Amino acid sequence: MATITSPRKAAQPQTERSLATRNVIGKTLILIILGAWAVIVIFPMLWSIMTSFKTDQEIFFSPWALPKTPVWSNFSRAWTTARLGEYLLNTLLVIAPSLFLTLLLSAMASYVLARFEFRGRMLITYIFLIGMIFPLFLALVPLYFVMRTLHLLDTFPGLILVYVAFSLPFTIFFLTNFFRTLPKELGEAATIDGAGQYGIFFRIYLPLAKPGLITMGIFNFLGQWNQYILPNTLMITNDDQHTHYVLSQGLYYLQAKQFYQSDWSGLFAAVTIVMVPTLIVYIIFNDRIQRGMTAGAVKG
Amino acid sequence: MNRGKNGLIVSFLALPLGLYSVFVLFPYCAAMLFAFTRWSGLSSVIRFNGLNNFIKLYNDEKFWHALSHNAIALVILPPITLGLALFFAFLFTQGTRFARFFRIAFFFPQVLSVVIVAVVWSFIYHPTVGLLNASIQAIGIKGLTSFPWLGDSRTVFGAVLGVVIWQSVGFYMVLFVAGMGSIPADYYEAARIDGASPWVMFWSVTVPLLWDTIRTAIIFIAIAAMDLFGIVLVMTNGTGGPSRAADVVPTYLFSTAFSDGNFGYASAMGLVLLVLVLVLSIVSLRFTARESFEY
Amino acid sequence: MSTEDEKGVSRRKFLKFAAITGGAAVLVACGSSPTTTTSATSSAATGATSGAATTAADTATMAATMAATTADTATMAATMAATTAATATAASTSASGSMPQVAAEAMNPLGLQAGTVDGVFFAGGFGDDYIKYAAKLMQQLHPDTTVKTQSIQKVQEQLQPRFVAGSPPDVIDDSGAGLIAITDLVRDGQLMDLTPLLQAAALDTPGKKFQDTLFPGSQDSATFDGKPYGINISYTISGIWYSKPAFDKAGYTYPKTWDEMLKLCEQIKKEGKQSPWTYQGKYPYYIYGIVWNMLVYQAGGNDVLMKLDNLDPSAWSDPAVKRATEDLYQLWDKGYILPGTAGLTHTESQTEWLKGHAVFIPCGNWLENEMKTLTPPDFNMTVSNVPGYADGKGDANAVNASGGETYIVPAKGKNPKGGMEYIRVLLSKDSSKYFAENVRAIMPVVGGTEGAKLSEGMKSAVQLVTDSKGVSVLMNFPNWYSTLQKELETHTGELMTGKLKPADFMTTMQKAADTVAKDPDIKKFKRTK
Repeated sequence: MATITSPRKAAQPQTERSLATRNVIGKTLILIILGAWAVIVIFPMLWSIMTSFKTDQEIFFSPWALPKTPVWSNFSRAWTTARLGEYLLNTLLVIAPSLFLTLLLSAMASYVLARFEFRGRMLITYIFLIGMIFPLFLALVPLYFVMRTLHLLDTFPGLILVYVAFSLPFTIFFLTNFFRTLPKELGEAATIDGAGQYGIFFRIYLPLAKPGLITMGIFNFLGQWNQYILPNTLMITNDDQHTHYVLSQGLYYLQAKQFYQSDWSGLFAAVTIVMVPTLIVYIIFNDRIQRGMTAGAVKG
Repeated sequence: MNRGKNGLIVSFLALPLGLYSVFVLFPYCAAMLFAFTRWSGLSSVIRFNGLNNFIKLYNDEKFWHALSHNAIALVILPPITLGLALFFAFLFTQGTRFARFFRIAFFFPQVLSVVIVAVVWSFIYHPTVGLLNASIQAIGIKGLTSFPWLGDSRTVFGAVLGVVIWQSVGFYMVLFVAGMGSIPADYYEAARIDGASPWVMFWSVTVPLLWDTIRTAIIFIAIAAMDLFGIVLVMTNGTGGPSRAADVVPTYLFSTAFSDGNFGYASAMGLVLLVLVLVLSIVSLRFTARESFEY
Repeated sequence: MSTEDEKGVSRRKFLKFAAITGGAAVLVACGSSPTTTTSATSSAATGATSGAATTAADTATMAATMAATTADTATMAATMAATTAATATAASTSASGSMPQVAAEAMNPLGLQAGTVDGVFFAGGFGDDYIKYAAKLMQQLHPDTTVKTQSIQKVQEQLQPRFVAGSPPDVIDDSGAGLIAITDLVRDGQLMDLTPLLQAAALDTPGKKFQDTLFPGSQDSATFDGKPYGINISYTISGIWYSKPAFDKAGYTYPKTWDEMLKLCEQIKKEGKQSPWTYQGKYPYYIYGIVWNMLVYQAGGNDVLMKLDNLDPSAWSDPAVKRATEDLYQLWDKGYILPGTAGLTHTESQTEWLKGHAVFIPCGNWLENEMKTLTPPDFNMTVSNVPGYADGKGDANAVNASGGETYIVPAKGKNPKGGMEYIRVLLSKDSSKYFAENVRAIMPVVGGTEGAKLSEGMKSAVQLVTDSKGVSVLMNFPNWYSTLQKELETHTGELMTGKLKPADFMTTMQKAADTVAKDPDIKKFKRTK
């Protein structure tokens, strides 16, 4: 609170020097706070990566020490036991279309909910809210029957549709507010220029919503990448080939296994393998958000 | 402006609503109906049970006990988590050094798998080799040697909430950063010309213009506080902690459905939880509904 | 057959079992020792047939099938013998190698017909290689049957919809953290009564019924109201573990009574180098299911445990319960438990124990396999019984052993006979040996570790079984009533951290038991022996 200065006072010349020192102190303080939090969040990440190079004994006997010699075999063991290679392809086949559809459909619905007044608008908002609250595992049995009736069990299109449907509430909820913050005048101007409703959406607002879409893209990517309850129930292959399993199921298998038969090092290696793509996706797209927002940033 | 409006509304809503109804709403409604039945979840034998489940629920101490923990989370989580997230998001707009690095790093806990989160925090809270006890000792506080943070009914829930805050700050930070991205630069320019300090600009420009996003975040975190299923499950290994001191409604509901084979009763809890959270959301939406800025 | 007879038989069986395991190390050195060969004697054949015919649930159809296929089985046996040589290479993934030779009457006692067996199996600590091994074995035995094996992690989440839809698999390994409570399935009438399987001829133990090849007591936990609704395919022995070399080096002797145990704890504590005890703090099961139940038994005998199981309104105030609870509480009260234990998971507490921070830890014989990557060399973990009372009513040598990893056969499956046949093959001597060697665990099959190599810890566990002469301790109510089990879990945790005094523990648990007894929604079970 000490940094609060009223605009008028700040403008007074005699305080300029003290303001400058204050600025330096303030900036240092900020760096310290940020640095402290950074340590808290980076440390576990580094620890988990480091741990995937250790032996089980090293993990439990000296959890904070560096590995004596990096154990690369953890990774190859994890790769084969959890069949990560096979499942990676399946996961990509599901997630790519499902992410695209999630973003497109959510953007459409959010745009309408944000920009137009019509009867039932609030009702629809609340109906979507239900999907964020009710515990998923209570509805698995009815969902299974829906999928069975539609012959979508153990199919990629089935899982894609389910992923999209379950991602909609959260995404729509966020994007509705996002569209609401976009200036109305642009649309009005375009209408005067003779653009149709669809054109306004696709050519003007959709590009403007990029930061929001990317943010939701990241969150949904993470959510769908790690989702295991849905595939666990809906992607049961009735033969041993397991051809439709996704990554999270392979990881889950390892996790269940190590509970009884400690292979912590293998588990950590598998988790690291599965985590790295999400990290890359975040780092790439984080810069996109950044580019979207520099316009609003202030050099202080 | 509104030429072709109705056509657009219908065509843009039809597909999302249709998908959502078939794969989410319908199964959920079916599950809600189970709340009025006695059903093991394992056979096609479903007996209608009237309001019995709800009467039982009303008298179920464990349910109220679990709900009280959700209530505590609801009071504690939003101010701390959103406060920190907003603070960090704000700092990043201040031209802080290494902003890009911090923004990436702060999101790390979101990327970490829940398995890792459980293991790493289990080690941090570990009585003998734990980092927390080591740091407490390093500061010179004695008497907490080998204190089991996750094994004591007084501390277990706080320990779990600590992990939740640690994990979710990054998420809300990214939400806010994205929201700030859509604030036009001219507003800051104008404020700067007026000689506003960053802190004043934050309160008079950023917060009002970000209000819609903040509202969304409040709803999200309220829903999260009423949930906490995954994190409690992994941090207490499914037991709800010593003396069930970290049990929350969803974990109690889960064990009722799966280990007690009582899906009907569990669905009743789910329905009560749903109504509570819906009411809460509607109230907080109304409560926070202040005129959002028109550009 | 009278109860007395069964006991006589079981005693002999155990002696034999012990003798076999004793020589196991020697035998395994020979590598591929010849598997038991059996000859089809007509008397055994009729015995098995009549046995199956008289007791089977769907007796009529089965008897008919049996009669019709007798001729076929003879030819099949011949075919089997002919193909043994060929299949030997195919099955050579196992140490034992070739397909066991099977007597004609043991070929197909359940009357399996050509078709598919749909098996869904929990794949946890045991992995799924042993499941596939048995499937291969079964396919060799019944070339016109296809065995599908699917490995899963969360049994309930994944199979619940199939049960509701009325299309469950034919056989399920219902185990692991997400298992379906068998009591719920029994209540809903979803499971096959497995009596026909128990009465069928054993696959590779000549002249024996399947049930007679299983360890006595191993199937008790899967028996509800006297009917077998599941088959436990693993056998676990629980007790108190310690490092034998470290123990001897310190000059300790393993206590014979609980009083001696407390005295030893006092001595260890005074020496100040390590804590006497630790346990799997977050899972109080290890205390009530391994230590407390044994103390109750030692003090008051089987009758008290039966009272607890039968939800007797005075069970929890029984003097034996009081004595056991108070004596257990001493561990906390006198400060014998490693500080911080309550906050540890199973892996973490077992690690503390391996590091030598505590002398004793309660566990089952899965401990060795579970901690194999963490165990220092020469640790030589050894298990002993929970010491009891010189003046107690229990058998001092009784072992805390029970069956686990329960397999079930759904009643509404397409091919329940196929499911039962799979279990029969899985619990053959051949498959047991594969299990012992590759999974490092025991199947409750007499002679199942024949020729298999056992570790030191396993040997000490097997020794406990031998010494028990067939007397094992059983406490069923936690399996029968999940709500009561959770209460016991919570309050044991509180007892072991001094949050609940023994007297309060007893009254609280009695109240919980009474609540269950009164709840009409909970199906009740009883036992009388």
